[in-house]
Amino acid sequence: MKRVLFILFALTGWMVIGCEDILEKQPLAQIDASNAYITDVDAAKAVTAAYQPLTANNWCCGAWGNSGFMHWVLANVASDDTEKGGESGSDQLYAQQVSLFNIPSDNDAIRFAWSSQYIGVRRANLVLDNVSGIDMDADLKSQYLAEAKFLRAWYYINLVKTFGDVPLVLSSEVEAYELTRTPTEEVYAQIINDLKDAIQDLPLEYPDTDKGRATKGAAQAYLGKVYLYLNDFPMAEEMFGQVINSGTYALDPDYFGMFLRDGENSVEHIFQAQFLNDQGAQPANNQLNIVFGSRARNGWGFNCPTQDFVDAFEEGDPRLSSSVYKEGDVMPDGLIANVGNTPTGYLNKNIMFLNMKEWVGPYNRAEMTSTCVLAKLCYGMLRQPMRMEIHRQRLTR
Amino acid sequence: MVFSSIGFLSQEIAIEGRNTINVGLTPDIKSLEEIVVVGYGTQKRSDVTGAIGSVSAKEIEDEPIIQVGQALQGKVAGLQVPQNSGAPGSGLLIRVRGTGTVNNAEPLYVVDGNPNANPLDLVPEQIESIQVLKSASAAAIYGAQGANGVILITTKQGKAGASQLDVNFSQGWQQMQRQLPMTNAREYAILYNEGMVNAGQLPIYPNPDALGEGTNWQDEVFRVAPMTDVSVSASGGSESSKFYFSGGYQNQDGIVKGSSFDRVNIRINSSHNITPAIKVGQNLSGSLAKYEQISEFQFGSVLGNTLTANPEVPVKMPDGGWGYSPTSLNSTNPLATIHYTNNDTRRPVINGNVYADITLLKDLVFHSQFNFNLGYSENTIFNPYYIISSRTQNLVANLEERTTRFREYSWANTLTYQKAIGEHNFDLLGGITTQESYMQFISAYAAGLPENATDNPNLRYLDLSTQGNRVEGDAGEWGILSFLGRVNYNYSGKYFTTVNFRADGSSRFGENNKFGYFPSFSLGWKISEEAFLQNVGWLNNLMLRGGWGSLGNQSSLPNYAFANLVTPNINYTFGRPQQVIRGQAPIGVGNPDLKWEATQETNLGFDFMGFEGKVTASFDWYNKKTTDMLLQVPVIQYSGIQESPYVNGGNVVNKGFEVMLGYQNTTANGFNYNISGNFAHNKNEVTQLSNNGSAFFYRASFIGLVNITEVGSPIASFYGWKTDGLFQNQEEIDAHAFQSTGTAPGDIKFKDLNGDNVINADDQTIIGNPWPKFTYGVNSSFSYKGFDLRLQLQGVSGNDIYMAMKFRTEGSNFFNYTKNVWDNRWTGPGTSNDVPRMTTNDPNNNMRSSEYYVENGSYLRVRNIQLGYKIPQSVIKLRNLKVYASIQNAFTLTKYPGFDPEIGTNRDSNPLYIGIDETNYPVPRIYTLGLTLGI
Repeated sequence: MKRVLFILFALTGWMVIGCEDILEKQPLAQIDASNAYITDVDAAKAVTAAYQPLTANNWCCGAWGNSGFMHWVLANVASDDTEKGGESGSDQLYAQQVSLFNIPSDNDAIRFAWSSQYIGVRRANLVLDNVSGIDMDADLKSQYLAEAKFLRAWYYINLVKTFGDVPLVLSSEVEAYELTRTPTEEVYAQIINDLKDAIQDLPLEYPDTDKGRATKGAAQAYLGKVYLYLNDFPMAEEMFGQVINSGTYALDPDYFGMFLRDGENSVEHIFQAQFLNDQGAQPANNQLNIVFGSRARNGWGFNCPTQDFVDAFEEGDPRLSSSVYKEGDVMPDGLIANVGNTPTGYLNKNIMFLNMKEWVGPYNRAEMTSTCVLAKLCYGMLRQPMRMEIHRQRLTR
Repeated sequence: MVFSSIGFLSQEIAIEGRNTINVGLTPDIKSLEEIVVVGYGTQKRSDVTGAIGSVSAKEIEDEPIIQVGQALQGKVAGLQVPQNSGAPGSGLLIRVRGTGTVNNAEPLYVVDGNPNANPLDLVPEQIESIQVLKSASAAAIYGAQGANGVILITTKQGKAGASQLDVNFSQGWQQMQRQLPMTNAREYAILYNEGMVNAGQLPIYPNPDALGEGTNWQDEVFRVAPMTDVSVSASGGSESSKFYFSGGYQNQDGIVKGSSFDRVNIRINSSHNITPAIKVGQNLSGSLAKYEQISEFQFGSVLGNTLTANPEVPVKMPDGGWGYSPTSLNSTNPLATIHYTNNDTRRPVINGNVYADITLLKDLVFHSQFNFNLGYSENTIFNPYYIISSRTQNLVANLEERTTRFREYSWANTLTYQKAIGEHNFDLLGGITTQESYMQFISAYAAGLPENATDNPNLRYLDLSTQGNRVEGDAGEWGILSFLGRVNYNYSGKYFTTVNFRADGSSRFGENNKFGYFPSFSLGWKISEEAFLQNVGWLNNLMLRGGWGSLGNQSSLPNYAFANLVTPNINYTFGRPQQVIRGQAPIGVGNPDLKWEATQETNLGFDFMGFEGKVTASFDWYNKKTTDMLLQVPVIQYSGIQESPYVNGGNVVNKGFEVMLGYQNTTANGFNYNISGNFAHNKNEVTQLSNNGSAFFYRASFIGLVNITEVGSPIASFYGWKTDGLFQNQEEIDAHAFQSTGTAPGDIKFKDLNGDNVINADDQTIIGNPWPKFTYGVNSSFSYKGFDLRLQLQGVSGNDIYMAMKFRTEGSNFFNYTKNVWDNRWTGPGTSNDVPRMTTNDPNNNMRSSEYYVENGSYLRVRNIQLGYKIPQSVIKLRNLKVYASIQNAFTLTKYPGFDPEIGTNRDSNPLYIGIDETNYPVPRIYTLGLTLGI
C-alpha cells in the first residue's frame, strides 16, 4: 500500500509541477504590446502601420477586407460625375443608397469612412505617444514624429469634411472614451497645428528607398487645402506658393503615364497613397481596377462616368481621353474597348485593366495602378494643378 | 429442443412428437444490463441518471456512411445533424440540445478516451458504439470542454474465442436528388431583354427564339458518381490477449464533376492481461484522406455558377475549346472552371493511445492512459495557365501550398474504487488529466509556373515559379490541467446518485481566472424495484431521474485573447522602385479576466421498459442556460481599436424536451420487428448581451445583413424587411410609405413597421428562424428468416432557410433565372403579387434582405431503405454471408425550392452561418449493393 501511495504521489506531483508549462502559453508568432516600442526598427514599423490606413479606401466587405474611406462612393457616386454601376441595382447597396440620397445609419460607406479614419488616427497617436521615448537617431525620430502628425492631420481632414464636428482624439492612451463631438473649427485648428509641426520637421525630398513618405511639400499643400476649406485664401495662396516655388514639383508631360506603374511618384505627385500589386496577400494592392473595370473584361463595372462629366471637358482637352473610355475606343494595350453593362456608356480609363500578362495571382489581378487621379475623380490626394483650382474657386465665389 | 436467439432467453421445449412447434421467446431483460461508456468509466445502462443517447454498431451496419456524424442522423433525440455539404468527405454540423453560443458550438469528441480526436479521421465501420452525453449531469466530467455536449466513441475490440475474419464490400451509385428548374436560353434572353427595357435600356437579344434550349448546366455539371467501400477486419484472442485489426478503403466521387474523396485507413486495437492485476492495451488508427474540392457556398462558386451560367453558352465550341460567349457579360463556363480547378487536400493523421490498468488492491484500480493525435492537412491550390477566350484567361500560373500541422497529447490518470457494503454500492473515481495541443500553419505561394503545368502535374512545384514569392506562417497552442472526481452511489439498486466534480485550468483563461470548477449531481429512483411494483407484471424497468450540472466551453476562446498583442504585417509600400515594407501595431486589447463560457443545465426524465421488454420509452426535459458567453464587445469606433476585446457577457437559454418510444416484438413464426421513434423540441433564446445589448450580424456578400443575434430571439435569426406583396400600380406606390426614388409598379412593397412613412433601416426586423422547432426520426427494422428490411426516416420542422442564391437567380440580371421567375414574375397589374418585375437597375432594391429570401425549411426524408439477405449456413459453410441493397436519401418531402433543405454551416464552420443557402453542394441519393462475408 505504501508503494502504491508513493507511486500515486509521485505521479501527481509530476503532473502538477508540469502544469506550469501547460497553463502558461506565451503567444506564438506575435509579440506582446509591452515590447512593441524598443528600437528604431520598432519605430519604423509603427510609422509604416500609420500609413497603412491610407490604402483602406477601396471596397467594403468580405474577403477583400481593408474597408476604408470609399472616395469613389462618397465623392464620385454622390455627385453627378458618376453612376454606381455594378452587377445590378442592389449590388453594393450602400453605393446605391448614396446615389439615391436615401442613406440609412448602417450604410457601409459611412460606417467605414468613420471607423477607418479613426484607425488611422490611433496609429498616428501610437507613434506620437511611443516613438518619442525610443532611444534612436534624433533626426530620424523627429522625421517619424512629423510623419505621424501629417498622417493624423490627413485622417482628420477626411473626417471633418465628411462628418463636420467629430470627437478629437489626440492620444492612444484614452481609458474611457466618453468624448463628445468637437466643433469643426477646433478640429481644423488641430489639423493646422499638426501640419505646421510637420512642415518644420519633414524633409523636402527622400532618398529612393523612402519615396512615398510625406514631404514638407505635401504638408504645405494640404495646409493650403485646409485654408481653402476655411475660405482663408491669402493663407492658402501662401502655402501653395511655397509648394510651387520650392522647385520640387512640375507638370508631368505624360499625363496618362502618371496612372501607370512607371509614373508612380512622378515629379507631379505631391502625395500619393502607395499600392503595389505584385506582392501577394499583403494588403498593399489596389483593387479598384477590378471594381471599376469593364464587366466585359472581368471587371465589376462600378463608378461609371456620366455624360455630364464628359461634357465638362473643353473641346480637345487631352485629359478626357486619358480619363474615360467608351465602346469601341482603342485601349492602351491595343484591344478594342467593350464597356460591358455600364449604364452611362463610359468607364474609367485611368483605373482599369491593362495587359493581362501581368496577372500574377488571385490577390493582385492587374498591372494598372492608379492612386492619384483627376481632380474630378480624385482620391483626396493632391496634384500640382491645385493652383489652377484655387483660382477657379476664387472666381466662382 | 433448445431455442435461442441473441437478446432472448433460451427456451427448452420437449418435441413430444409434434411436427410444428410455435415458440414465443421471452426477451432477455438482462439486456437492460447493457454497459455504456460514460467518460473515464462505464456504467450499467439502467443505472444511468443523466441523459445519454446511444447508437450501436448494429444500427449503422451496412449503411453507406463515410462520416461518423451520419451515423447519428435521426437516431438520437435532441441532436440536430445536418450535413454541411454534400461534397464527398465533408463534415456535419452537430448541435446537442440546440446551440448555446455564438462561438464554437461543436461537441467534444472522445474516441476510446482520447479527447479532441477529429471525427473526420474515423471510419464508421470500426465503431462499436457511440454515446452522446446530452445532459450537463452526464457531461460534467468533461468540465470546461463539455458545454456543447460530448460524443463518446468506442471502437471495436477483439473478443475471446475463435478468431474471425470479416470482409465488407459495397458499391454505390450516387445521383442528385433534384434539379433546380432554371430557364432555357430562349427564356433567359426574353427575361434579360425585359429587364433591360424596364431599366430604360435597349434589349440585348434581337431574336430570343433563335437561341432555343441552350445548355442545361445542371445536366452537364452533375453526374452519376460511383462510391466504393472495402474493409477487411480480423479479431479474436484469448482470455489474456485480444486483438482487433481493420483496414479499409473508401472512394467516393462527387455528384459534381471534379470533386472526390478517398481514404485508406488501418486500425489496430489490442489488450493484454499480463498478470491478473495488470492489463495493458493500445488503440491505434492511421488514416490518409484525400479530397478534391470544387468551390461552393458562394454565388461565384462552381455550384453557384452552375445555376447562374448563361444557357446560351455551349459546353464546348465547335473547335473543341471550352465554350464561351463573345458578347454576353455572363460567359462563365462552370465545366471549364471545374477543369482548371486544382484544389486538393491530403490529410494524413494518426490517432492512438496506450493504457495500463493496475489493480492495486481488491476493488481499487489505477488507470493510466496516454493519448495522441498527430497529423497534417496539406492543401495545394494550383491555378493553371489557360485561355478560354480573350476575356477569360489566366496567363500566369500560380501555386499555393498550405500546410497545417497539429500535434496533441493528453494523459489521464484515474483511480477507481468499487465497493458494496450491504445494500450500499459505491463506485468512486478520482483523477488528474493534462492535455496540450499545438497547431502550426505554413503557406508558400508563387507564380509564373510553366505553361505546360496545366496538363502536367509533375510541373506543379514552387521551384519552377518565376515571380511573386510569398510565405506565411503562424502557430498557436493551448493546454489544460484538470482534476476530476465522481461518486456513483446506490442503495439496493433503487436509489441512485451520481456526483461529478471537475476543476479545469486552461492556458486560454486569463491570469485572473486560471481555474474553473464544474460540479454536477443527479438522482435516480428505480421505482420498478420497489416492493409495491414487484407484482406489476408488465413493468420491467422504470427509472425516474433528475440532475443539475455545470459545464464550460473553453474552445470558444482564442488561444491568446487574454494578452495585448502586436499584429504583424500591417504593411505599406515605399520606395522607387516600390517595395512592400512591413509594419506592425497593437490593434486590439487583451482581457486578463477572460474565462470559459459557462452552462448550467437542469434535466428531468424517466426511462421505461415494459411488456416483457417489448415497449421502451424515455423522456427528458431540460433547461440549459449558458452564461458568460464570449462576446467581442464593440469598442466605440473613434477609439480606433479594430479588434474589440473579448469579454464574458452573453446569456443564452435552450429549453426543450426529448421523447423516445420503441416497440419490438417477435411473432411465434419468427418474424421480428422493431420500431423506434424519437422526437425533440428545442427553443433557443438569447437573454442577455452585456455589450450594451448591441446585436451581432452576419453579412452575406451582395445582400448585406442577413441575420441578427439579439436579446429576445434565437441566435442567428434571419433579418431584413418584411414584405407585403408587390405594388400593382402607381396609386399604391403613392399611398405607401416612401421606399426609394424610382420605385415602380411590380416592385416589392416593404412594410413600414415604425409607421414613419419612410422605408429605411429602422424597418428591418427578424424575418425567420434557422433553428428547427422539432427534430425527429423513425427507425424500424423487420426481419424474417434470413431477410431483414430497415427503414429510416428523419426530419426537421419549423425552421426557415435563407435562400440567398435568389440574389442572382431571381435578381433580374444577366445571370440565369429560376423557372419561378419565368412563371411568376410581374408583367402588369394583377399578374403577380410575388415575384417582382424584371429591372436590371433595381432602383427599389427589390433584392435587399427581406422575406422574399425566406423559405420554409421543414422536411421529412427517407434516410435509408435497406434490404438484406443472410445466406443460411446450410447453403454455404460460412459464419456469415450476407448480401444487401440500400437506397440512402431515397425520398424527401419538402416545400423548399432549392436543391436540398438539409443545410448546415459553411466550410469554415461559422456558427452564425446557419441555414443560409448561397448554393450548397446538395446531398446525393445513393444506391448501394453490398456483400459481407465472415469466416
